[in-house]
Amino acid sequence: MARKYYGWKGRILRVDLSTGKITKEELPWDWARQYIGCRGINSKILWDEVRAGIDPYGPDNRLIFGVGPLDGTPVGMGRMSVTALANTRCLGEGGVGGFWSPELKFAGYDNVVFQGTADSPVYLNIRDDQVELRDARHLWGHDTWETEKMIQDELGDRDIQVRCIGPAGENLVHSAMVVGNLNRAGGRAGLGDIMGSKKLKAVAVRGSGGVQVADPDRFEAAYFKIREVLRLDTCMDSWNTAWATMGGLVLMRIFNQLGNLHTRNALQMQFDEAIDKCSGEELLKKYAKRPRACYCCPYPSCAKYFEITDGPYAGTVGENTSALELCFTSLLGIENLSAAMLGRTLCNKMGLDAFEVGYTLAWAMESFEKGILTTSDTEGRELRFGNEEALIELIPKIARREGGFASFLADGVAKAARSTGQGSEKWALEVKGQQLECMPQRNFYFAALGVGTSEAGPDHTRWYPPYPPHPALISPDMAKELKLDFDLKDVFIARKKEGKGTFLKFMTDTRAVIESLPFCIFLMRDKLNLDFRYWLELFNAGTGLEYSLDELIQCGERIMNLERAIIVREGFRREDDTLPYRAMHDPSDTGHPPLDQETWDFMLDEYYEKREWDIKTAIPTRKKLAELDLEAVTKELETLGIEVI
Amino acid sequence: MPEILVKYGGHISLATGKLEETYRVTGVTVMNLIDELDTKYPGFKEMFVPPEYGIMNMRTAIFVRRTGQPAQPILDPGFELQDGDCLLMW
Repeated sequence: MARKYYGWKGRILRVDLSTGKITKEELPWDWARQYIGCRGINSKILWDEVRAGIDPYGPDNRLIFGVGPLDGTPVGMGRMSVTALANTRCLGEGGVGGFWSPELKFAGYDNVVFQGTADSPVYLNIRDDQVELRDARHLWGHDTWETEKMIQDELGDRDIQVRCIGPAGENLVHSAMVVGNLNRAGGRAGLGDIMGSKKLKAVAVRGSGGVQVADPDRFEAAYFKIREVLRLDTCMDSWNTAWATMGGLVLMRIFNQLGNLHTRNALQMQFDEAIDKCSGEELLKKYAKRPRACYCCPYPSCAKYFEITDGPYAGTVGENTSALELCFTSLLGIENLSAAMLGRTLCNKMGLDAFEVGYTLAWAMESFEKGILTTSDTEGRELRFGNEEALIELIPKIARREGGFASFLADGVAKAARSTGQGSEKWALEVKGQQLECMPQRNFYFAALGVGTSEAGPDHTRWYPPYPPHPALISPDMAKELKLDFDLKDVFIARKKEGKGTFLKFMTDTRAVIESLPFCIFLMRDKLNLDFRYWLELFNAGTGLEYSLDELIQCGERIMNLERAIIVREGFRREDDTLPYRAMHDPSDTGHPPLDQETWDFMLDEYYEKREWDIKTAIPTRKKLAELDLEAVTKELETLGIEVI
Repeated sequence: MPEILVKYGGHISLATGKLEETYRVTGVTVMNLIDELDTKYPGFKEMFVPPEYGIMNMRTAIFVRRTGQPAQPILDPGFELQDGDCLLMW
């Protein structure tokens, strides 16, 4: 008799794109218990089914869409995870909000696994138990907004939820994204290109079921406790109200004041000359029309629908989520917010990661200003900082690989710098082959360590938020009860090296839990950030398991170790946990010295020691893997000739 | 009486109706500044010092930037302001 699942649906949908075969498999109970769901189970599938050294664009790669046990309830916030082996050979994992994930739960599935490669473009249509691959040749070449509408029209359902790729994914652009609900995008490590390599244009889903939690009354009580913490008038967190009203773009003026704002490829760290007119405050005043929240989100206006009504970009509409305009203003020295907003919309339509486009163009602009790139390389473009026309012109061309220069940029900043040479690697702001994403390093050591050690390349969501709540919020007794083994006052100090590794372990383990339940990482405010009893109660009430706090957090530790093993298997070691040259060698213009190697090594040592990883190699130890029931990981690494001590 | 530049971030700028202002503080400390701004913008102090806690910056943040120095967070209400300081409050 099949096991009764609460929270989970207990089913995985597997689609072999090479053969067209679609199967429904039972979700192994041990996976649910040990990896929770969403990001965790996605990583488990990736580890089990993808062999070391495969071609990320070949049929042996997996593309996995996952939701978690709390998806479909108000807690899940519409979060989902997309996972694959990325083109950088890192873990490719991106969290996305919106409305797709509840529909997958309502349709009766926890994960969708794609394997193989289709002969011609297809899309998957899921309607409860009816699952079919449909011809997508007529959709190929269309942008994400057009694709979503065409599928909704074709299926006669304006509410069907769609995740799709644009031209960037089709053309295997390094930073292609999976996009849905017009402006919700995920996959920092380039998963749209993996989807494109499989000739999978979209996944549409509609469900008519529900989600059954184990103890509805207890679950509701636990949920309302979380809502109470997040109340805008009482929440004890400096970012809560600011974020809820302005979203990520509130960071612009704040980062600028802190000397943390990447400006002109981080040659400068402040954009004083134009910061006010490129800020979230300006967007709210001039362009925002109405809020656009994800599924059941209590924040009124983290995302905003905007319209540009005058000037050269009049008629542009889009949605502001997170701080992406930063990439197209300060980072490129562009003083026009509306140009950045148009850039964001173009990226969403093309299915491009705005961070990648921004950091790649910033590298190219600096290279041009230094004479490394010339107009003969740029096909006549004067690619200096501040050139907004080039930004707007190049985004669709990068996505479609139109022209030699756009195609060169489409391969990302790391490859562009490597092939150009002449010292330009020193200003390529990337780690593990993937561009940065606005988090500073030189005066923000915790963020630096998080960026440098991430298994998925620079990705702040794996350790967000980069600061703890006010120390007074967690009393010493509470800290003892929660077994918090770091000093909350210490981790507040931006440039103190001690304690950062210990804090990062806690944050990454617990965020792995949060992204597997899932819950929106940007709402980890006030006590929710550190007091995991809130999450324990929700998990237990939702699933019927009665985990202890240690057992729940250990699931996160298991996910982190498995994800480390995935990149170890691909050849990543301690020396790959690093920062861009600029962060470690050049002082910033705001008085912050570079983060020197000695400090970096100190923080790495502390982090690896805390994790019980080999500090020489950053490989999890045999003892740690055994403790986490990951003996099979040890065995496979050793089979591959990788020493596990 | 230090003259400082005060910048208001996020929702605080909505409460004050401006992004920044130059301000000559009658007192010396950051708490003096908060008290003074409370007379100008009623309710300001409650945001920065929640009455139920009586502790500054439980749900807000204040950073100071001084010429030639990296920006620093202010947690101590007795922090002394200097002429030319630039504060960001959110």
